[in-house]
Parts: sequence; C-alpha cells; structure tokens
Amino acid sequence: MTIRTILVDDEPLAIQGLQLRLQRHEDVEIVETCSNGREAIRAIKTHKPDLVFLDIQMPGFDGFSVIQGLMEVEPPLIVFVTAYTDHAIRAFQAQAMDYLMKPVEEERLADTLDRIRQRLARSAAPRKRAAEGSARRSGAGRVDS
Amino acid sequence: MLRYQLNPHFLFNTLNSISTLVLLKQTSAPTRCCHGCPPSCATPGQRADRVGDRRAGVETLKLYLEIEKMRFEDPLAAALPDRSRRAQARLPSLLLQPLVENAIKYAVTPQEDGADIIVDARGWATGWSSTSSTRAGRGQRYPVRVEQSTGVGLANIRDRLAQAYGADHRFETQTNADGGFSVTIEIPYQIQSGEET
Repeated sequence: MTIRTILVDDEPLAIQGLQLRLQRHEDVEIVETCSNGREAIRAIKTHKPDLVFLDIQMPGFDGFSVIQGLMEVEPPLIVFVTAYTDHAIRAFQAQAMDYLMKPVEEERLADTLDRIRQRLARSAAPRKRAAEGSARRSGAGRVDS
Repeated sequence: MLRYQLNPHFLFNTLNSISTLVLLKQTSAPTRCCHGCPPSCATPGQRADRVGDRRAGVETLKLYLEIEKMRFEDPLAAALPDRSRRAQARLPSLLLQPLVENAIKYAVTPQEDGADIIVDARGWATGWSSTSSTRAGRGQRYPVRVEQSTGVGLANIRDRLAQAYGADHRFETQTNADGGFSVTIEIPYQIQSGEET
C-alpha cells in the first residue's frame, strides 16, 4: 500500500531533510511539498493524502490553523514535526498521530511510519470489504499488515 | 549571568538544517554556520556586560543573519552599516542581535512575504545612536503584534544599558507610520583606547 504524503515546512532544508530520510521507505510517495499553512490546506483538499508531516511555526497559518482549516474534509493522518517541545499536548488534542522533534532522527521516523502503516491497514480493511475492486493502486498486493 | 538568552526554537531548527546539509554532504554552509556559533553560544563564560567594538557587534549580526539565510534560503533583506569610523564605536556586546532576532520573530517570520530589517548607526557631537527597525515587506502594511511579546528581550537591553551608562543613554521603541517597528538607542560615543578619533 502506498502512503500518499504531503510535507509542510517553511524551511526548504527541513523539507529536503524529510525527503531524504523518507527515501528509504519505498511505500511513502510524496505528492506535494508546501511552505506555508495556506498552501497546505489547499494541497490537502486537492490531493486527499494519507499522511501529512506538518511544521507548527510557519508564517500566516500555523500548523494548528491548518488542522482547523480541514474541519469539513476527512482529515489525513497528521505528524507534527517541530522544534517546540511545549506544543506536544496541544498536538495530541488536535488528534495528531505523532509528534517528531527536530532534528528528526531516522529511527524515530521509522517507528512513526510503522504506526502509520498499522493505522492505515486497520482503516483500509473495512473499506476494502465495502468497495472490493477499488484498490487498483496496490498492484504489489499486501506488503504489510 | 547568562551571556545570551538562547532561543531553543532557533537552535533546534538550525540543527535540523545542518543535519540536512550533512546528509547532502554540503559542508560549506554548516561550517559557516558553526563559525557563526561562537559569539552567541560557544562562549557562555564571557561576560554579558563587556563592551566590545561595534564592528564585532555587526560581525556577530552578520553571522547570525547568515544562519537565518541558510535556513530560509530566501534573500533576507538586512541593511547593515559599516563605515569605518563608526565601526570603531564601542557598544555593549550582543546588544543589537536580540533586536534583530525579535524583528525576525515578530515581523519577518509571521509574514508570508517577509519584511525588511534596517540597522543604522549615526554619530552626533554628544554620542551616537543606533536604530534598528523593521519595514513592511513588498509595500504592504502589517501590524506589529506587540501583545505577543514577552518583554524579556527589551527589558534585558534596558537593564544592560542602565548598567553600562547609568542615566546617560536613551532607549526608545515606536511603531512606525508604515506599520513597522523601530528601536532607537543613544549612548555616549566611545572608541577603542589607542585608536584615533
């Protein structure tokens, strides 16, 4: 199963760092990168990704505003990526899947992705039964469960 | 006494940028960035009330801005003065940097289009003044969100000026007509001993 992913951060090097670290996770497909909250809301509504890595402090709309801006759509899984230690509680209140601290550690990122895979597999199973035959993208079959 | 009130958000984001550059095997930018560190964080034992020459202050500022430029890649418009005689004027160390940092935090970062920072120094018969101000970027107006300020940075600067010069200084902040924010500092003109006036 491919994890369609959007990266959001106002620092180009932070985006690039995540891209490099996600390269070895072959099931992660980065569909777009955004440098502010406004772009992020638009991209998430357009692409309907499975997963979003979301920075908190950004110009204009911050990470929490992005979540608020997605009220009317089915939200993707959100992983906050931030240098702030004091936003963790708010992040989990916002139903965040996980909370990564910068600089991002590769092992920690791998743990996060394992949890994401488990969650997506759980939520995909009933949907798959309901709409058999619509899973065209998973040509390689079930890789993990 | 803390030499410098280190901003953890700045520190960890910078470390994150450096880690990316290391992954990319680009060594020149992180090396420049590490050279930028000593004035602000690698010499915590140095006294905060030490008076250094302004040239050193401006150099520290340049290194700091270099790091911010590395992080955001966008050209960060910062106008810094460097006229030789005024460059010798003495200034409490790390007086300007917290002001520029505040400008980045409250004026540049919240704007998707960024903003300009101007640092100016002028000599007068009685002393010299340094003004650091922010200007709304790309001709737009924006409100400076003073209510977000903790007041720590400005209060620290006020304290340090009072310690260094007693009543013999002026420190003023104001919201500019164009929506920017200015800080003006006036202190007695002193130069390094042994140098010509």
